[in-house]
Amino acid sequence: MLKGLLQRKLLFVTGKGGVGKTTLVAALGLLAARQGKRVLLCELDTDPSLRRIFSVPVIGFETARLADNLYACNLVAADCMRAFVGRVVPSRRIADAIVGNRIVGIFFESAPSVMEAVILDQIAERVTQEKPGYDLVIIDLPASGHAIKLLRVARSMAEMVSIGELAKRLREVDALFTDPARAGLVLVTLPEEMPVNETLELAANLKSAVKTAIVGVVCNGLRHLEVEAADTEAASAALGDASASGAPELLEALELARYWTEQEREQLARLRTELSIPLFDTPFVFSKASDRDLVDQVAARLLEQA
Amino acid sequence: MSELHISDSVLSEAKLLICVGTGGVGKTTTSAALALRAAALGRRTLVLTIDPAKRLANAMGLESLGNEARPVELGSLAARGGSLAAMMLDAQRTFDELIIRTAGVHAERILKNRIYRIMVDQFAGTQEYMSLERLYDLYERGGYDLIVLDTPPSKNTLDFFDAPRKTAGLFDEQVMRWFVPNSGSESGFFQKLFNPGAAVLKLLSTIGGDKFVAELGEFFEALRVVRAEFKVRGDRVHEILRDGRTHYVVVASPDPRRVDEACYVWDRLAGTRMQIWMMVLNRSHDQFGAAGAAALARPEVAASLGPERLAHVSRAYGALASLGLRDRAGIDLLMSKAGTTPVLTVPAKGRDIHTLEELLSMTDHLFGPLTST
Ligand SMILES: Nc1ncnc2c1ncn2[C@@H]1O[C@H](COP(=O)(O)OP(=O)(O)OP(=O)(O)O)[C@@H](O)[C@H]1O
Ligand SMILES: [Mg+2]
Repeated sequence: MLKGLLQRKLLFVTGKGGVGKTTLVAALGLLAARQGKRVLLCELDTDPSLRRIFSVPVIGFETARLADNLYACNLVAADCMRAFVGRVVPSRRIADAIVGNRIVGIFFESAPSVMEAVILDQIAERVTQEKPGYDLVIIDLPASGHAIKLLRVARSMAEMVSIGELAKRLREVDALFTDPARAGLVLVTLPEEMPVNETLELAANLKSAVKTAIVGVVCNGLRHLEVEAADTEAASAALGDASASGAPELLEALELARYWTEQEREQLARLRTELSIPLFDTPFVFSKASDRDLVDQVAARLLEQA
Repeated sequence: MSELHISDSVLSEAKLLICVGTGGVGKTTTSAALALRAAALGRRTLVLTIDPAKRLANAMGLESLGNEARPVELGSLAARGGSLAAMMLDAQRTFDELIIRTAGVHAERILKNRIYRIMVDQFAGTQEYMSLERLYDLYERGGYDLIVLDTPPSKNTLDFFDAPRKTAGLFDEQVMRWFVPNSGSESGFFQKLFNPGAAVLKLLSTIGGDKFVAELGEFFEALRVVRAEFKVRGDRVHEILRDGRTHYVVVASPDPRRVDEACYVWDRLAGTRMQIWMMVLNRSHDQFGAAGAAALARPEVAASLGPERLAHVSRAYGALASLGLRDRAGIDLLMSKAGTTPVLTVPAKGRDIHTLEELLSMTDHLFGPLTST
């Protein structure tokens, strides 16, 4: 299953805020790099998440090295704009003057989709570049709502702009993103009702709006406490007086653990039956030495599902 | 430890409460719970939410939420004369309605412009801007004593406060002049020479073709019509956000790994005229500590559970106690950040909110139970 994910050239990772997108991006990147692929992780203005995990001083527009075979960059709209204009306008000085102008800045910031389009342009650039080529580029997309918007830009702008450099570029970008052999989307979620609802909705919306193939779903943060009603009942009987010292905390904790157990089962089953997409699960890491340690533990579990 | 309870008097006095925080921390539920408490205290309250869980609507006795206010059946909670209405933001419709109201005869042309349609659909700040736009009308003439505003799950909350400024960029006079030559004063020779617009237009037509530029021109010209109205509203919203009767509730996670996010939101508000009422740390495990483990260690408890079940239950409690330890560290960090502003926790619960009573009970953790008078 994992092989199917890592054999593509371009992977997008998205999901609700805080579900573990960056953790998964790092884990998938490490696994691919260990297989000998040259891998580039791309953040979209989310610095310092990867920087913190890999303890490197800077990750910017220029590529930084994280580990053997593993590299990262952080794409910010203004830099992408500069790079794009630089390719269209031959003179570096004129390009800088245009991009550096305050009023032009206001225009590009407020004109719909321009910023998104140049970010997509830069992503495609990194995937296709040859100087140091990459076997795999993994994009840490923003939280789901913004991700759909971003991915749709290529298509909707292409409808509007039919000739010129941008049109040509948008068609290339769209062709790359919608080619299931080259590009795929990984959805990250949690074993809880709301995130799973959102994932199912997202999967449906993506199918109709984006056309990038969803190649994997990762349910992150399984607690695996396996506490059943029989356990909470036995504990309650054993404690006798439910208001004795420590008893309320203990019973509340077991109730919570039982609820998690039930949710984990139920939500994994929903993901499995409602989506026909390879499903991975990764554990909640209660204790870890560092963020990097967390990523290693998540990666280890992914590898078991290879 | 965080403070146990604070007074709910702000709920009786405020005109606007704004819940801010990063995604997935429970802002929407917190907004609804605070609004319900205010209604139970006797105020005519509206909660304006973004993207509510279906279950939250159901807990309020509603099938779903829509772009207009729906009354919530309060039953005995209405004893003090309060009421609660709930409403969900539909950014796209709000934007269209605003254009229809302000653009008069030009409305149809704006609504049809393809660039306008793409902007409404995709412009990153639209949702933020429209929630403020919606707020303006409801605040000025909605007839509510209190509005509780849930904010969109931005990548960072900054987007929310920046939305008016960012959208105002659309109406920058100089930018408009590039596309609409007679929209400003006659431009002189030097202005023509150094007009960045000429370079940008040339660039844009190289990039996108002449048709794209023509359509952009139409878009900016159309927006020029609604500009004055946008400006007035934008300025007024700016004031409302800083009014003495507007209070902010920072909703965050006690997880120390997410403390940075909360601090970021905090720093954005602190030192402005925007008053922070309290910080709510939701889904906390700080209650799980040594006492629970000691209860398990009692000989009669251990004997009654038997070795196998004891080991299993101990492992589960140990896991939760480690989260407790982790959350207490986060709470300490956030308390030192918050200084004299109250920091309160709402415990993680092993069940969902299904009823109004359960929603209201969330506020008991903040203010203590509602006293009946
Ligand atoms: N399996 C896990 N076990 C324990 N903690 C985890 C796990 N996965 C992620 N976390 C923690 O949860 C937090 C959020 O994870 P991460 O930054 O990967 O999420 P994200 O989806 O990228 O968030 P954002 O939407 O803010 O970019 C981090 O502090 C991370 O250490
Ligand atoms: Mg991230």
